[in-house]
Amino acid sequence: MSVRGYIRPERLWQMVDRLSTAGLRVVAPTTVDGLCQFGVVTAANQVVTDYLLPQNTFKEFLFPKQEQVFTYLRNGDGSYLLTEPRRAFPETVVLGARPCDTVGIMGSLAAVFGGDKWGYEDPLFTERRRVTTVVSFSCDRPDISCFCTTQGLGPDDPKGSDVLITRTEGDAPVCVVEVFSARGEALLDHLGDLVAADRDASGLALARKQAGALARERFVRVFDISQVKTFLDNPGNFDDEMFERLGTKCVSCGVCTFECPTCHCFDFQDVGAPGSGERIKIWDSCQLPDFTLHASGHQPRKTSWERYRNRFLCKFKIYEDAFEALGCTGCGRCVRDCPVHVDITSYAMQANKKQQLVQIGA
Amino acid sequence: MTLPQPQRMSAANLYLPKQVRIRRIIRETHDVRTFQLEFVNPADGAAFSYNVGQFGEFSLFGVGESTFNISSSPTWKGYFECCFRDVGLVTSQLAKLKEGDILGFRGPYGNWYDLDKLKGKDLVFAAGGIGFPPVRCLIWNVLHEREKYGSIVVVHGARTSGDLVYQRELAEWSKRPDMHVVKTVDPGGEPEDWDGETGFVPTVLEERVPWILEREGKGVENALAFTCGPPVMINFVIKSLTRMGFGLEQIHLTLENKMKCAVGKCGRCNIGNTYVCLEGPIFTAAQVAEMPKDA
Repeated sequence: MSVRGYIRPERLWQMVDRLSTAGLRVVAPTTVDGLCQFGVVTAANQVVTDYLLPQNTFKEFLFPKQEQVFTYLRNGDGSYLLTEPRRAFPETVVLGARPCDTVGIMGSLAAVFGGDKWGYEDPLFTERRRVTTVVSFSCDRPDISCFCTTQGLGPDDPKGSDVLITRTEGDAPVCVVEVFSARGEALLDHLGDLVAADRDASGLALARKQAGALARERFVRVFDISQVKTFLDNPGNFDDEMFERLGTKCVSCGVCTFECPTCHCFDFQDVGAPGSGERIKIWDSCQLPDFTLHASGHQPRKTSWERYRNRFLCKFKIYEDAFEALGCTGCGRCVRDCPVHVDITSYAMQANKKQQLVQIGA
Repeated sequence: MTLPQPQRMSAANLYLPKQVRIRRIIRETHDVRTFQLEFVNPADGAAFSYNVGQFGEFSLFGVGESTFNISSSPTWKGYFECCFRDVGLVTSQLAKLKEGDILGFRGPYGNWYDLDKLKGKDLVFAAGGIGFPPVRCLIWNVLHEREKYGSIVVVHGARTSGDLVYQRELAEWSKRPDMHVVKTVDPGGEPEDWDGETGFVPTVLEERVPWILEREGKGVENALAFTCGPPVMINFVIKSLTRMGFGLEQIHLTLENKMKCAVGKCGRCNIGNTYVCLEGPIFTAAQVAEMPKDA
């Protein structure tokens, strides 16, 4: 059984102090630029405790917004001194991750940046992943944009988590601690007596299961996606009318991609003079017009709706085909924060409906 | 023809280039250059090998990286080549470099031609403009063991006669009795003393190649075609070849999508669910026919 005990709700965020004192870098929901975002914290009082999903995901702690790949310095003979930065990846604990983000980052992004499928491993990601422990908190109050249950996950899904903490319902709630990996076991040592073990584990497990079931019932954005992949697997549907109709209003701001737990696109940029400078790996977005623009002027995706079609395909087909991973975890950020209300779930619902109509011969 | 896939690569230094020195610059046209490159560190050179049709990431530090086909034949030792047109941010700066200058290089990447599958076949090459290098490397590799292949026909076209790349090689090949070379320029691109064809590559291909093969007592059933060029040209070349009787499996093309990482991470080169850098850049027309119009 994965249950190891419980933490009293009022002591939950004392984990920050314990882990920080133990010398670990702690990432948790905090206030960054006036918004609730995942950031580095050193004490419990820096944490935003009343949150559903921070504005960002914690992917930037494994796949930074920008980072140096190497520096270059031209020698007298015209050759270059290429130097990789001293990369000291600190042991990091992500506290309060949500299951959707955890699956997206520790599962899907790891599938892209790892080398299992295609043989190329990006150590900038995988080395960080090796020193990252994720403590996810189950959700109890999904909002109207959440749809993780539709994507085959759930508010208490432990996939990818080293530790999952679920707050039970009722008059005297406790935060049930479950451990799913050796990293999670090691983390418990740092938490010490914060995790009480004076209650029957099977009772805690039952209460935790009930809490998860109740949370599931609170989802409102629930729909059938069983036919979406079949719809997208048909090359003829690439030209379906829905893509232009739903996507024309997209303004190509890219916010859906930067906030997404599974979006992995990046660019290299050289910063500096010809004789000295650095090459950086920096987030990019398939929604931006110059993303696929060739030097010749050839542009495979000329319009915003063609670019959003790529995003929808990436989430519901390409990720699965190319990386055998889940493309969309249903976190809902791209629905919640799109300035013009482009809604990926309406794409999925309409694709599903169109395929159903094909199957009944309508 | 099944295409071989890349080998696994170690996790270290995935994006860190090796350094290569420009050994020689050949001005192919007013805006196309060939760089002959050799590794600065001999150990890098000794460890380097590639297969015909693969590509690399070429960088000018302080400007950026560009994706080019490795345009030389793997049978040439001591150096390798790339060929590029001065057209974009990186290539316009590369065009200013001198012999002896140093570039960054990552590679080789992507799949390649399995020459065993080409042996005994009649080979038709159709290339447009700066699409010639990914075809030219294969031609030279095949000529290395000429006797193992059937007829060879090369059709190369460009907008004007001044835009034809590898002109000295076209002239050299034209003199050979064991291959046929057809050069063509788009209508209006021919000078007064033009000794080649006038017309677009797909048209000239369809007019000339069946006749050339027929003269050698050949049809297209034992032939394979290889093409690269602007997307619109490739589409019409496939149509022409199809009308000539080629099956889609007999037609090979090199897709040159915009790339950054070359290792399936940066998310840029996909056509539908196909990452060109991982599964390509060489595809059969049958494979391309299954892809969405996303390129």
